[in-house]
Amino acid sequence: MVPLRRLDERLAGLAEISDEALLAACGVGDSAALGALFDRYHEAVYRLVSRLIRSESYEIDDLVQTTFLEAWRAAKKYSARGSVKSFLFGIAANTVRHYVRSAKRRRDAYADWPAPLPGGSPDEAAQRAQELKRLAAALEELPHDLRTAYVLCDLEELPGVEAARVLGIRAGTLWRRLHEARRALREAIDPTGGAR
Amino acid sequence: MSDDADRLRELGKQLPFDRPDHERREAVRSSLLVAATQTEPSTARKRWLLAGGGFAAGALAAAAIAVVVVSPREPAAPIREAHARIDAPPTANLEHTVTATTTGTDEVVRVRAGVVRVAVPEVKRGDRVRMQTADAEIEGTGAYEVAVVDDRLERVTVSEGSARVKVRVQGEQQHVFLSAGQTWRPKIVTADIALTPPAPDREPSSDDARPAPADKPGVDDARPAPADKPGVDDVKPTKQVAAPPSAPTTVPKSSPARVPDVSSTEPEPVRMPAVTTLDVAKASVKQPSPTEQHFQAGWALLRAGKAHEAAVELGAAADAGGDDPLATDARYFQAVALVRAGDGNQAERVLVAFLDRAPHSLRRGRAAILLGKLLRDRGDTKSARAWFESAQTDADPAIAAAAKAHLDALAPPR
Repeated sequence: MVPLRRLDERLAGLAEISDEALLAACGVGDSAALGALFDRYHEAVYRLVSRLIRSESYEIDDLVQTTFLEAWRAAKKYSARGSVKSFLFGIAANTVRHYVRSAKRRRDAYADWPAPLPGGSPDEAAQRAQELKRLAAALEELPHDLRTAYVLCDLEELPGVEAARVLGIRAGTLWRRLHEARRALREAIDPTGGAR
Repeated sequence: MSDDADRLRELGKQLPFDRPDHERREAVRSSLLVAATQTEPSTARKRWLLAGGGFAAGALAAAAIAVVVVSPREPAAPIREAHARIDAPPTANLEHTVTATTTGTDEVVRVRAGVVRVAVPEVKRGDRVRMQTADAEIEGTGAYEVAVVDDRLERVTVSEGSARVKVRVQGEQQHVFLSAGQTWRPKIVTADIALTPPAPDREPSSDDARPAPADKPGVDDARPAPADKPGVDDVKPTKQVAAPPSAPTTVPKSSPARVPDVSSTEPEPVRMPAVTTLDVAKASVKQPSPTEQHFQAGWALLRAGKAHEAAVELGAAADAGGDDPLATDARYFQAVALVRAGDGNQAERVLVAFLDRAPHSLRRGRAAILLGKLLRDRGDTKSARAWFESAQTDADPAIAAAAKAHLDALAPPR
């Protein structure tokens, strides 16, 4: 009745397996590996998707599920030139792009977002809340390509070279988009130029 | 990087995002794994086939262009053909669109008012057909009718096949799986949620494997139940009841001795198509396999509290399925049914068989904890400890924490 040692080793092995090995296992149809990959990266993909598009929760769920399903389908195409996280982010960004193009839908610009937890004095908290609100609205107003560049590079801290590759654009194009996005967002946060 | 850029990045990272709660995450995870089992990963051979197909398509396109250039102009055929057959009165307010996606087509019937009946045949992989309102989305195969008032879903009735409903009620998202003959009304479920008391915390015991007296609010409340489920009217009683995603395993923070109810785990949703012909459209539906039939029957019995009969059906599903993942799940739930039936000895044997034959199952941790509890309750703390320790390495942090809580609750080894 006592479990054999090999079972413990298997479980430990599954927990310690690398991202690349998990993706390779997905490529041969191991759905447990897909589940493990989901467990590791679902929060990051949720964060990316919900910052790329403001939408209902069930639509975000659909986009996240589509991302992982596409990763499952395309697992064999993974070239290991970038990280698995970049691979997933690239799929997520493209999935959202297709969704935005086809659906052409827009939601209220972050109007119902909960206020962030304030810190510091009440005045500072109020100011930061205002800045966040303006930033959220400005992010929503950004063209999708610029928003994608900003979210991938600045918020998710994907290396520029990898971000350009997963988006299928040249590095120069990415940097230009990122520059334009940052400029627009800075102006939105502080229209008087105080933030520059 | 300048200070401005740093400040902008720092501020941007504070932007809230749509963080899923445990139940929502589990629902997406389960749905993903079910979809993955129906979708094979692409292979190199397929890529070559695709490349060959691309050349062939290019040649055909060139030939078609030549024909178009030299032939008289004719009306162009629609690029994307709709799958759904829609039957709606003139007063209905709806919009029907078909758009291209990365995987195929996305067909949306946006209904704002009226009673709309839609028939959907089985579509190829990557294609989707959905009905949407402001608060809900319905996706299924077969024939179903949707009643919408003021852009809000009032009712869904499935006459053939099955449908999945995602609806937001009082700010909470619910998932409902309906099969042929069932009607669902979100407002009734909302009332039930308000009246349902939360399940109390319990001390760890073998009773953890027994059915909860009342369903917890949330996604679970939206499950289609065989007969006794509020909010779901069985027009035609049927055993084809879709199962909900896994119930979450939570770890109490206040007391390490309290452990979650790991044996309340429930199977991922399984769609059960109908077998009769459609009136509205000739939609082809797939006959469920013996494993699926036994599993669904066993699941319905388990939900109905008939644990002995459920164990028999689930055992039959496990025996019929071989290495099928559904059969593996059936083996696990057979053990759960046996525990509920009070047959702990047989449950132990089934759990050991499950753990031995399913080295990669996602339910290993839960099964190990359940087995450990059975062993502990009959005094074999040494073996129980070993199983709890094995579950500590589960990939799911909640399971690992639950195993640790069980270990902490045991007396220290001599």
